Amino acid sequence: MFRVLLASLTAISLLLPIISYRYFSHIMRLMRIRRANFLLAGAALLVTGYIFFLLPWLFIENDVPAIRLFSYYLVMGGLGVLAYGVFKIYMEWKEVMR
Amino acid sequence: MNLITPLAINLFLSVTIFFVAMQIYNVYRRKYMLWFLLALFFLPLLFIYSLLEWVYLSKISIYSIVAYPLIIIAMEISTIMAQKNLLTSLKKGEKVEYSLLLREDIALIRAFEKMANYLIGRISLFIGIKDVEELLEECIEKYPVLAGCYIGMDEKLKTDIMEENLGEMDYEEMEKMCMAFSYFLTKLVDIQAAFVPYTETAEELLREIKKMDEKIVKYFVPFVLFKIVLEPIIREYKGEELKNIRMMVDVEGIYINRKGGIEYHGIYEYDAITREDKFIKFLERLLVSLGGDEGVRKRITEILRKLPENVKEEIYRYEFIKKLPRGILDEEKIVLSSKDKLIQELIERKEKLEEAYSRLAQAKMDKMKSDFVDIIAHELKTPLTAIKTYTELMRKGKLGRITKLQKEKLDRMAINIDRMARLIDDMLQIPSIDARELELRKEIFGAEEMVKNIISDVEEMLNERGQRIDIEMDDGLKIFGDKNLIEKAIKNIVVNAIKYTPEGGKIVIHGLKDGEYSHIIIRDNGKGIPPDEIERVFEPFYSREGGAGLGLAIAKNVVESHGGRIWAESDGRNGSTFHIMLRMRK
Repeated sequence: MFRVLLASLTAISLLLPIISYRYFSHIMRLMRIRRANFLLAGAALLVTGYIFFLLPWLFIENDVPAIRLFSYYLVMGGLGVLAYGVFKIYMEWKEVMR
Repeated sequence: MNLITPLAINLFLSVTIFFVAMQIYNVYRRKYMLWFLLALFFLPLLFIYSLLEWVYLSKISIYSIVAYPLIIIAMEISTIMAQKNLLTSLKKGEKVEYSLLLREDIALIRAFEKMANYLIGRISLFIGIKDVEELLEECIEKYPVLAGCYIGMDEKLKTDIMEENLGEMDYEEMEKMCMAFSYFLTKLVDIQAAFVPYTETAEELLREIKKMDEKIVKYFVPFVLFKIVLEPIIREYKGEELKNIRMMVDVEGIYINRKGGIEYHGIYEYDAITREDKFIKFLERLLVSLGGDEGVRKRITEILRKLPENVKEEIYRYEFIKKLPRGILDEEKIVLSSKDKLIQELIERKEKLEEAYSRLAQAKMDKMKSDFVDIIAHELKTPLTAIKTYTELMRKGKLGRITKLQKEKLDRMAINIDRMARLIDDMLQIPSIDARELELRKEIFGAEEMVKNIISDVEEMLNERGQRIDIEMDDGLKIFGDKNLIEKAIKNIVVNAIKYTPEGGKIVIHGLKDGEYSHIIIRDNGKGIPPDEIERVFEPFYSREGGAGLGLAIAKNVVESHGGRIWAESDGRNGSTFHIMLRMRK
């Protein structure tokens, strides 16, 4: 029961980024300010980390601390890239809005 | 295994991202930003939950793990909502999105699309939408850059497919697109003009342009100038008159079609200033073809004055008004030229003021310098006189008997006191001459007599060093000036020459008549002055071999205060030559 619930929720959470990516690529075709690569790379790392985090629960229904740690490091990389991208956008927009 | 550290770092990073996003929202308050903020708000929550879950894992059921996908799903939904909102905002072409986010080429396509739809909406009432579709196809055939444009079910021009296939355009491609769209717009305007009075159409189009973003307006400048300013006038002429105008007005790719519409697509090949020039040329020819009608000039002036501010800003950017033919915007030309004159005058006044300030500052500095040297010199001279008196008394034994050694030392002291007194005298002369405060007691005197006086003064020095001075003076050579000062100046140069000439050397003093001037030349065969230092020898306190370095500075001041000239020549090896030019008469 737990595994079915988790699998279906994971499937939804992996489907939504695909929809999000479609919007994202459409927006990026129109946008002038380009920090897309940072945001995309950051988001991709976050999703990968998330998948690694859930893998043990999906397959053995238990935690594997080593995999959990690895997933945290992946997420950390993703957040770092994302933070850089967001900060750059802030600096650029601040200039433009002035 | 330590999971707390990466978790804490992740928590810190996610909170940072959230706060930076909050700052973005502060400068850019849009609805979709709120959705993004919501999505980013879940990130720190995720890590806080993870921390708690890790600490209390044993007490929480296995189902606690389900919270992760749930939080992630909430985040993703918020992100999708934010993106959807942003996309709608971009599609609507709201002003802030235009200026801040939208690519310029996309914004330009949207602006053309809007204008075209405005015209299509009106002309589809008179002709079927099929004709508009055919016209669009014809335009695409002529300008393939328009491929992807189509008339939608709602009878409106659609550019979404074109946008999707569009790579980022360079300036040249943008110009091509402008050419293509302006061709399409011209055709639509022609159709509408057949049913609606053109002045009405022009006013309505201008209202549309008024709403445009300032970055896009620049691409519509030719449209405004030709289709809105000039075309209403041309369209009033029909038949033979129009034919005559058409024949006379044709400027390299800009011409009038049979219906009286101006076709100007080639103009996008040129830069903004050349475009302006072409328009002026076209206008001049048009005015000639209309027989220099003053009424036409007045009407053009009125139309130009009525243009919205965003268009005016773009059009008047260069020298547009000044280039316009006589009778058009004359008042503005006067205002502009008086503005230019005013600016020029202000610049000149500012320069004069700055010069006066710098002169004042220099004068103040000179005065301060003079005062300073004056005070120092006087303060030194008073005690020195007392020292000298007592030294003399001691030397002569009037203050008691002294030994031989003491006498020797006192002699040396006396020599040094004399040297110091001379130095102070020199220093005292500089400020008075610098400040031009000295009253020169000018008279005419013989140069030869003065030179002989100098030689007798320095005779002792010459004998000590085994040197000699030769004089070669023109007969009756006179100098007009303060005899004492000039003598001192020349003596300084001679003393200098003696110092730098080796023992047994020779110094020559020439005196020549040179027009109204006496030219005194002092030449030595010493080691000379290096060429790069020749300009500096007259600077106060400049010295090559010890000494105060005031002699030549004083000489320069004296000569210049008499309106004369002094300079030095040397190749840096075979001695040096000093020249002095002084007036012979008043």
